[in-house]
Amino acid sequence: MISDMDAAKSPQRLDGSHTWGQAMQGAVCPHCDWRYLLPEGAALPMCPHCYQAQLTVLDDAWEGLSGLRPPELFLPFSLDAAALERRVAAFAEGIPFPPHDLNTQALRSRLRALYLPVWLVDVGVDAAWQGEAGFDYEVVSHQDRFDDRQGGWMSHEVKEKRVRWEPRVGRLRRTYSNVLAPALEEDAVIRRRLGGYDLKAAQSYDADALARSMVRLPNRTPEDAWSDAVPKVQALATDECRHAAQADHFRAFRWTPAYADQNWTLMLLPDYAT
Amino acid sequence: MDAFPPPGFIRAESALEGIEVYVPAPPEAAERKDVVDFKCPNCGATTAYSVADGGLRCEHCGYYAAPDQDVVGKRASEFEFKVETLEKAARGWGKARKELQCQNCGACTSLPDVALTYTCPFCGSNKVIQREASQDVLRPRFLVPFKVTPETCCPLAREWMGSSWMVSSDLRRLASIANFTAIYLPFWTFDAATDATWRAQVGHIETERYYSDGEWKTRTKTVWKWESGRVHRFFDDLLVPGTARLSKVLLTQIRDYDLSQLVAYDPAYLAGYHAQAYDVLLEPAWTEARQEMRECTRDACRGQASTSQIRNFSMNLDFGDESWRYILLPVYLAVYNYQDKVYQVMVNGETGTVAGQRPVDWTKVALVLAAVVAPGVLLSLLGLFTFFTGIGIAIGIVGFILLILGLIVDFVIFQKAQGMDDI
Repeated sequence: MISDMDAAKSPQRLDGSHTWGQAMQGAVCPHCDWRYLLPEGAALPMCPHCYQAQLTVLDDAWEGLSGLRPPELFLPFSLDAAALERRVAAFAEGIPFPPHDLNTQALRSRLRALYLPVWLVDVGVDAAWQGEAGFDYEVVSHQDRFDDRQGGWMSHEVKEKRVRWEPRVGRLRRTYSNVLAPALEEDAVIRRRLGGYDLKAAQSYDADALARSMVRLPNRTPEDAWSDAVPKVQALATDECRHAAQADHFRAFRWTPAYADQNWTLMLLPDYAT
Repeated sequence: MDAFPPPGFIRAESALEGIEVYVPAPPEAAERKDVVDFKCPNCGATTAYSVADGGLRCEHCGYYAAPDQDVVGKRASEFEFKVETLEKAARGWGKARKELQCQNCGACTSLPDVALTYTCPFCGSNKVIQREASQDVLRPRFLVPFKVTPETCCPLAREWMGSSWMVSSDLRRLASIANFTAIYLPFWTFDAATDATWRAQVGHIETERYYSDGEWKTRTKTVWKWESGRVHRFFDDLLVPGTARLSKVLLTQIRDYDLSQLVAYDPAYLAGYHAQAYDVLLEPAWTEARQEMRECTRDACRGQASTSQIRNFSMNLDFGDESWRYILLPVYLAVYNYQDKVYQVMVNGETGTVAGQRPVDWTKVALVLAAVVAPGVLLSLLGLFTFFTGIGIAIGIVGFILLILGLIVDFVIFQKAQGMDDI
């Protein structure tokens, strides 16, 4: 349902013929200002975040939607209805003295499938690096026991694992693909509450995935999210340098990276909001 | 990282495309010939290491060259007991002999595989054999150079011969000492920390009063109490001979080497000297060192008990920070004849400490033994004859005590005399 005032403005829409697979429109909650993307023409629901107001169509004054490329990957919803029911019930029952509205039925009736975005960045790196490579080796040691009553010494050989550290330097020219970077300000809080996702189950984006769900729109730009991606790129580079040096461990990694050819896309993570 | 790669790094194999890896370059490997021949660059004569000069000296033209190596002392690298090292060390040198052809005169010589040096018997040229060990660490890497000159060995040995009253007074004069042979012998040095916890019943003497037969009496009894403790010890450079071809007893007596004088191995130090590689493998030598360390630690544990009466003693001992070195140490060897018998003598080539066999003058020893017990015997007899005169009891007791003391002293002297020609 679109209000008169909304209808007077030209709604923000994404032509889906060559990108999203279907035409999409932006929507915003006038109460909490969370922004969503949903198939064009779909009924605008109550905000799944605050449930205080019905979503309204985003007008073209907001520039966040222009140029938003379709997701590269998505994780399909895999929780079956019975399991979802059990979890909602368990959540509701776990609250002592809940308000009358906080019960399984009410929560279930407002349940809505929602995709949360994370950025995926592909980046080329050219760097000089240095660090300490650790190599495992074994040494032989002994533990002896003496007992008057057992007639003397008993010796027991033990093998101890140690690490030999050696300096290594090198150059790196690699491309790192699909490095995750948060697309939402609340990403850390959400991850902490919901736990991790099995990202190995990610699939290439399919427009059908959005048939019965909404997409939360990013509220962090790639430029802003880059600072969170850099440590992940460095961690990947550290592990690759360890592998290249054929070492068992790596520490004190330092590098002087030059980044190039950044390519930002989205990945959608499934969640239910109520 | 301005200049790349940094100085001292060389490219290594990378397991990943797109990543170059550079590792520290290994130390410049000096060209290692199988046999190093020592010839004077001026006159072509054979050169040898001179103890007095501390370097290579040509006796013909006076040419002198100091060895390249500095004193490294206790900083000399130590090695851990890596599984890989122990496996390779267990293979040893094998039993083969080595055929060497002298580059100087072309003569062929067959050498035992443990020989590190030889002098060609045909032309007299000195050679040092740089042997291929199963691992680099199992080649001699450090040594203590000779400090005692060959000329001082004979006086030192004669002084040592005359230093005990148990040997014949003419030994110094009549013993004919053959020439001392200077030889570098293989030794293993071991470091380790021991961490031991012990528990034992310790006996305490207590006196108690008790009532018996209508009167109070006292008696002593041993009360056993459990005690426990912990001991940490660190053993630094425990020396174990790396050869079984010489007397271990004698080698142990001259092992007062100052290892702060260790230098890195340089064949120049061995020129003109005999030198042997180890024939006692690393693992048996380490077992021997460990036994010595654990006995020392056990003594320290027992020393912590509040009295010396101990029973049901048990301890757990953990070895830690174990390391080892393979070094060469200087020794002079000689034999001497005395009354048609041959005796061995060794001189520490660094400190001049002498050890060896000495023929005991048993007549002299027997007289001393008799003299030591004589006062006790005489007083005991005197006490016996004057037993009924009252004072005889006191004399007898004093005589008996002196007799016991004399017998103890005799036992010690006898043991020492017996050990004089032990090897």
